[in-house]
Amino acid sequence: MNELRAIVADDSVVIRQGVARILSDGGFRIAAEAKDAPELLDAVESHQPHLAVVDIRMPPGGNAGLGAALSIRARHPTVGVLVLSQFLEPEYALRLLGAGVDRVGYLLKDRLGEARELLEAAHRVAAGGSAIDPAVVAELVRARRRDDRIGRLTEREREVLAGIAEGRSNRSIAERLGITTKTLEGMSSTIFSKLGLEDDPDVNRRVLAVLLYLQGVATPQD
Amino acid sequence: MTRPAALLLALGVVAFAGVTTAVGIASGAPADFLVLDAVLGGMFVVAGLGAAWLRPALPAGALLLISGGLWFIGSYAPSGQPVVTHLGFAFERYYYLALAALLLLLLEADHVLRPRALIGALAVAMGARSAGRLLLQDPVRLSPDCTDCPANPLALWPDLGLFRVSEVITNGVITVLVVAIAIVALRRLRAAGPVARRANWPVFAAGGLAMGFAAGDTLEYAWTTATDAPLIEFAEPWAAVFGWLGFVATALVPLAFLVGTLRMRSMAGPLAPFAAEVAKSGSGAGLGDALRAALGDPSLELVRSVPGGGWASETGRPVDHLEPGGGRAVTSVGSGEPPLAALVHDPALRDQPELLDAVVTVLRLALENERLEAEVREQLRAVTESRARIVGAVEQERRRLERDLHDGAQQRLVAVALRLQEARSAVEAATVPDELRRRLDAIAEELGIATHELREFARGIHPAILTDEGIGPAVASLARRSTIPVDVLVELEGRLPMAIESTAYFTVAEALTNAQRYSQANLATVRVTAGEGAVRIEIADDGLGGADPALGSGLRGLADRVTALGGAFVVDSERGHGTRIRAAIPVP
Repeated sequence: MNELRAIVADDSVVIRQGVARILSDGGFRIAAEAKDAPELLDAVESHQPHLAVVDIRMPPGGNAGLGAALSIRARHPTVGVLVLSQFLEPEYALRLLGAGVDRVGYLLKDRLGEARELLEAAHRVAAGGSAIDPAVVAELVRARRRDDRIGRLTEREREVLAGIAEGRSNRSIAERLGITTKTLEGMSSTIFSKLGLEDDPDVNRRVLAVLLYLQGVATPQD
Repeated sequence: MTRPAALLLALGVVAFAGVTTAVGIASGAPADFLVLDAVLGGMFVVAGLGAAWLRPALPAGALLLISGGLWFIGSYAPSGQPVVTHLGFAFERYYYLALAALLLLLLEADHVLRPRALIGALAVAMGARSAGRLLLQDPVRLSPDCTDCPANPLALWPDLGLFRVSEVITNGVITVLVVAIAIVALRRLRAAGPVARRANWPVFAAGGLAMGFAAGDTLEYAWTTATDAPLIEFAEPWAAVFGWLGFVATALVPLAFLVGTLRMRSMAGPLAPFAAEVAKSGSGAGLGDALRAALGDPSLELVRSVPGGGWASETGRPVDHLEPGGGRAVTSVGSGEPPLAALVHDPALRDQPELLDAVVTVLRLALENERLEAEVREQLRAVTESRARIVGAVEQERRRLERDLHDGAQQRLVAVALRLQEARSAVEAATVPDELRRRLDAIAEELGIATHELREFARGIHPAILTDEGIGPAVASLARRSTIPVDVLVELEGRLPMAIESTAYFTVAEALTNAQRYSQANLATVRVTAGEGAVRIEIADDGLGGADPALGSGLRGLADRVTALGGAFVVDSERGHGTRIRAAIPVP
């Protein structure tokens, strides 16, 4: 019953099978593979998987992959959607997110060379969380680099902020930085207060708050 | 002077001449004097009317007519009537003034009298002379030995001494002024261009002669009055001959003016109005009428060759054949085969070959010019369209390239990364030298860099986000990557044609790149707005300025792309005042 079902959609056979192999090695069962957007939508309809890994660019043309991902998000809120993209453009990621950060991810295809990162993101999304590629988050942080509040953060705090934006759990961030979760929680509440954001115990709401802040949409309360 | 005004003035002068002649007849003036006086004065009237008719822009007509009127005042002098005689004596030769004015006016392009002071001084001197003659002289009271002299009832202060002083001074001054005016006029003629010289030398010759005689006349008068002896003793008949020569030279002035004016007209001939008409309305309607008027052949028809063969009449009716015969002659216009047009006309026109040749030449030039203009316009249209197509094709090509890179090379790199990842997993599980593991890690790292570089390269060629999401997100992405802060405002509804979006995007991209490289600006602003059938792009920074579109190939290329789409591209970059680049591209 706790077997995780996944669908992999990519028009390249090599990549499709490669991703499928990483996922099945990592505890997913591949319910179906799709080579274009209509096939993907059909497969999601019939299999109701926990996770759909979607190539942003797929037949029948343009960013049909992104369109399919958005329509899965709208019509099947229980299906996690992880988009694989070759574009380092936060605009795509932010469009995919829409108003919520649950069960969604945007990873660069570069990560296919890092099986562990891909798997970690896949599990996070399938479990209801989010996964935003570190490079995309870095772009967003870069865009806000002239923001005084970001400037007030220490290097370490900025790394924590990026981790939160990527959708990582406190434990995962703490592990990556080699600190205890206790220390991390302290740091994160400092970060939220420095940015003028309300700290929220709910992970997804915290991610959303940080992303909106980075995007420049949220106006922090003083 | 308008023609009706000239006519009215001429009638007045003629009526006045009638009165003076009648007075002359009544007082028994000699017939030969009366006839000559009337003929010479009449020439001023004729010339004045001619000038008003042929050169209405010049005030010469009015001046000549006024001279005529003044001429006849002098005719009073020989009458036996005391008042009339003295009025005539007092106001004789005022036409000097009008003649002097005419000579000074003729060569002035703006028809303004210069130097005004000279003419004014002459008028004052003549007025003073008249006043002296009217008020101071009474031959009966002053010199009782003059038996046939009529008394001057107007003389209020008869005083011979004062009268003489007045005569000497005023005549002396008039002499000097007349000579000065003649010199000014003749110098002006010398300085004039060859055309003006050719047209005006007869007037100036006659005028110079008349002024010379006038000066001699007044000098003689002043001398005689002052010394009671003549300046030069002339034996008869020379005294009379010189007196008449002065009159004749004066009368030659209007004649010479008329001759000069007529000569200018005959040089232009009937070709002038025709050329003017062709210049005004080209080969459109009215050309046939202008031809008929110029050649004086109401039966003339203009027949034009039709592109693709055949002929058409002025009204556009097809004309079957163009054969001479039936008492008609055909003259071709242009040497091509078929010629541009042909004239079907009265064979008698062949008797005036120069006129026919000249008219046909003007017509040929006009028609050829029109044909060339149409060709050039057509070529320009074709070039404009093909330029827009080329820009469109380039955009298409860049987009295709970007797609190929993403879907081809980049996919391959990702596939390689996957394979490498599998290999690394396998190595992880096996017992292999650390060296091999490190090498695989290094390969993975290189591969990541290659993927990153390829992505940036493809992005520079044509960003996918522009294709997928449009100008707004693409420009936002540019602003985010800029090293100087960029304030972005994009107000567009929906998507625009690809070529326009790309050109707008690359305009912003190039402008921001320049700003980052050279401007040392603290802030840049980007505005992309739509309205009035065009999309407007403005990129401004507060940096150093001094950007030159002629030097930067990037700006030059952008200007080319924008104008190829029928748009406008302006760079304002005064040194020290930042740079502002504006482009407007019409949206079909």
